[in-house]
Amino acid sequence: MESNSVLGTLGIDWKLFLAQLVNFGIVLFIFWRWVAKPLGATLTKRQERIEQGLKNADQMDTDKKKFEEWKIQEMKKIRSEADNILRQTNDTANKIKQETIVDANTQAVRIIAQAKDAINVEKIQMLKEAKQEVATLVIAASENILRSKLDSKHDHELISVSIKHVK
Amino acid sequence: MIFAIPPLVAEPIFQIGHFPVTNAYINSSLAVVFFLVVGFILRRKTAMIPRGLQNFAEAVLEFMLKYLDQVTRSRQKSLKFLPIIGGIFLFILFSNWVGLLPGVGSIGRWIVHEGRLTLVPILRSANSDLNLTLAMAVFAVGLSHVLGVATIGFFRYANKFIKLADVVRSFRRGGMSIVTSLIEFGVGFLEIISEVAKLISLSFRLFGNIFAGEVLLTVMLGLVAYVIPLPFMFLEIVVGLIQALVFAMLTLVYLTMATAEVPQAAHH
Repeated sequence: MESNSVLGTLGIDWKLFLAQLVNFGIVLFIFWRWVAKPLGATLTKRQERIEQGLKNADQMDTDKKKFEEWKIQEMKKIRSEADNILRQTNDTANKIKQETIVDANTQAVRIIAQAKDAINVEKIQMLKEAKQEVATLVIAASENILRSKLDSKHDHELISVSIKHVK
Repeated sequence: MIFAIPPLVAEPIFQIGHFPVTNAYINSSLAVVFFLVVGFILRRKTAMIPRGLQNFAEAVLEFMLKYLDQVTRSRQKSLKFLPIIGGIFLFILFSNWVGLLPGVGSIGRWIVHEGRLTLVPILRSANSDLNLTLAMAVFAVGLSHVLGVATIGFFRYANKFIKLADVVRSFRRGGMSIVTSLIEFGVGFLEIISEVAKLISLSFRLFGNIFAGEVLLTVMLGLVAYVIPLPFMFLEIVVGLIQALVFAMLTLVYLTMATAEVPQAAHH
């Protein structure tokens, strides 16, 4: 050390100065290469991710609100459509019910009329058959009663008269 | 009562060839080892969810970035300056605080110097050696000029100090602008002197504060060994922090000013 000069008095020695500068440089290099660079990048990356996350959350909130509004609108629309469908269905059902009742009544009236007709036809047929039967029975009975008292001539007259009466 | 007030110059402990290894140099080398170990541990710790040491290191970096933002007003610039300013701050802080540990300045060899028994401590606060503080100041001021030239170009940066271009322009305009440009030319020389002053103020402020702290603590410990030196120890902890902060902040201001765009001269 040059102890005579001012720098020497203050302890300035170029070798020590350079050595201390190198030490300081090494510390700065280590701090830059192994601490500030990777951690700075991590901090920036994390901040970006947080900002992106917050942005996404805001977007999701907006989307959710939009969706809620859309849902409410759609629900209103769907409810209104459902009410319309229900109303239409009720109307149709009532109409079909009325038509069915009218149809059933018509059919019932027709069936009753048909039944009445059939009954009348049957009744006439039965009366006809009954008359035929009665006439046969009368003839048979008259024959049996008169066989012994009448000759064939009177028999024929009597039969004719009886038949006429029956008719 | 024997107590040895530390000398202004760091004492050589041993020699490597012609290189004198001083006690302050040993301390700064210890700081290098410390940063090497911590850096080695931290170099792969880049998890998105930080834990332990990474969490602590990130907290420190964020704290520093916040301060840097206040001066640079730009996160991009802060991130650019962080390795320099952060490194300076942590290195000075570590060196200052290590200097307060028991054993530093008190464990050494007793030798007879100029007929008096003197203690030569093996360890001495790194910043109580002007070589280190001057090296850091030269680095800080030198870097501010390098970055200034890189940012705004050599000629525009040189025009901050030697305003020849302004003088030539003023002769074309004539009148009062010649007087103004000549005054500004003189101010440019003052700027050059202020750059030298920066070196001296940065290095001597740190060296002076830390060396004065060493002397103060030695005297207080010599007078009363127990309790009384405690407030002074606390004071030195604060001084160590403040001096690291001042050095780092001034360097940041120099870097920010050097890399700022020069406002265009008004054309009349």
